[in-house]
Amino acid sequence: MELKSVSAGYGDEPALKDVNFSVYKQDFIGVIGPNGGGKTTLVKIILGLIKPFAGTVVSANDGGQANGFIGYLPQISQIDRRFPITVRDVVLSGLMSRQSHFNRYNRHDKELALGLLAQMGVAHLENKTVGELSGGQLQRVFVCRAIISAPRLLILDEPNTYVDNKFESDLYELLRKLNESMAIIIVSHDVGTISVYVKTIACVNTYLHYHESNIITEEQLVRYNCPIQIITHGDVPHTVLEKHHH
Amino acid sequence: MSGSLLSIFRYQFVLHALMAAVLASVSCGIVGTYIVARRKVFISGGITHASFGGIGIGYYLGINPVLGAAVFSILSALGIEFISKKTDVREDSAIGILWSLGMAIGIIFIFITPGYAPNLMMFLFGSILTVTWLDIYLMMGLCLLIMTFFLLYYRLILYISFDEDYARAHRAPVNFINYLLMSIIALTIVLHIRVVGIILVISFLTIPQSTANLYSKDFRTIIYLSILFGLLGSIAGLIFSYSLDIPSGASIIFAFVIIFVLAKTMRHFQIKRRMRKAMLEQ
Repeated sequence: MELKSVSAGYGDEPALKDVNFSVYKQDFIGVIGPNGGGKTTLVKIILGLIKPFAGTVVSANDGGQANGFIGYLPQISQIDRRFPITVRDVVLSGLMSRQSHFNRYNRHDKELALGLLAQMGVAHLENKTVGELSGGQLQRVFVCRAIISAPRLLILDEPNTYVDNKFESDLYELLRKLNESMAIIIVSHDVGTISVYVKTIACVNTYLHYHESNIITEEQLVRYNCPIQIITHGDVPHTVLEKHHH
Repeated sequence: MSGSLLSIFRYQFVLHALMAAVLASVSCGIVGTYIVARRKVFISGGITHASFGGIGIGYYLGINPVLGAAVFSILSALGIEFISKKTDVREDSAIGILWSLGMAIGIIFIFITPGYAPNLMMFLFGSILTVTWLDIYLMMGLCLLIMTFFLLYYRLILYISFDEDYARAHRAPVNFINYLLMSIIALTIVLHIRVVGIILVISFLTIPQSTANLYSKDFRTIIYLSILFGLLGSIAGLIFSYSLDIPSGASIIFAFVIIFVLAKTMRHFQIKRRMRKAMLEQ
């Protein structure tokens, strides 16, 4: 997966300019940046949902792969939660690209779906509809959908919204395991939490700065022109805000 | 002699009406579930009224008004989908423009058509008791088309409707399915204008679904229940219409609403009883 000098956006003003970005097997990249900095645009480019103004996107997804190349966890706020669909169908929809559109699912697929739901601790919700779930439960279901096709690239867009701490640590453990067989991109405005788990960091604020480690300092963020809130870990959970300028 | 002839005639038109009711319930049950789930009720209202332009032009040119309506409704359906996706006109504004434009064209052409437009009232209010074999054949064809399409592509339709971006990321033919479904909505509306009329056809696509939605939140089950409630309502409406001598389109809609209110009330008490039981058990 590779982006070469890509510019993209909506309307006249590009949200991303001259972005070069490559994803390799077993990468675990945290994408950070301020709101409106182009994080979501980057995700949409990678997924092929929007075409760039300029530059090229090389994606193994276009090579007619039999298996779903990209697993994707959308932002929950983009989902119509009153849509009449069951949890099981949501998870099975992750297999959409693997088979011809006529096919019904076989028992193996259904067992796979139920197994993943059980692993996420939501197997009892299999026959519920999405409207009956809490935000955290829905996140778990979407994680199952994203990984059921055993994709080679997994993209998570703000997975830590609506989520309890228990799920968060479970999720990162799961991702660490999944990372053995797939590359992972995780988009977040919360640097502190993800930086413990990711291997590298990409900072997106119209331009993209790639940082070859998971430790990022305030000075670097300033240099990258990436004004975001920094959260650090301590004995007591706490948030460190920017110093006051007097 | 004349009495027996009359009863045969009566039997024949009642049979037609029943067949139309069954076909309409199945087609509208399926398509309406899609419309309600995807929040396309307003678009469907726009298509329905825009088709009036085709009816007016049909009268003026002396061709079958249903044909004119079919062309107009499909063009407006695709037009709305296209305008709202490709231009910066907001979708609800695009619907409002095409809605009134279609009505205006219809009024102008009916006004300048010499003579009296005999079946105009039938298009506005519908009449299930005067459907012809041709109407029934057309409805049958559409019903078969809808059933085949939804049986073959059920999962794809469901997934695209639920999360279009996800389907696109999986390289599903999202645009193709969306445009095809808009065309099916347009055809369904036009062919059922004969049954309940322009003003009331939207209720055939939404009230049985709302009743079904009280009992199920699953797409497939809502389709089955909508067909059932559509059938119940249209047969009850036919009986009202016949025995009270009131227009059939209006009495069918009335029956739909009565069934909805009954179901809603029953559901309300059912849930209350269940809650009380749960409280007592604690």
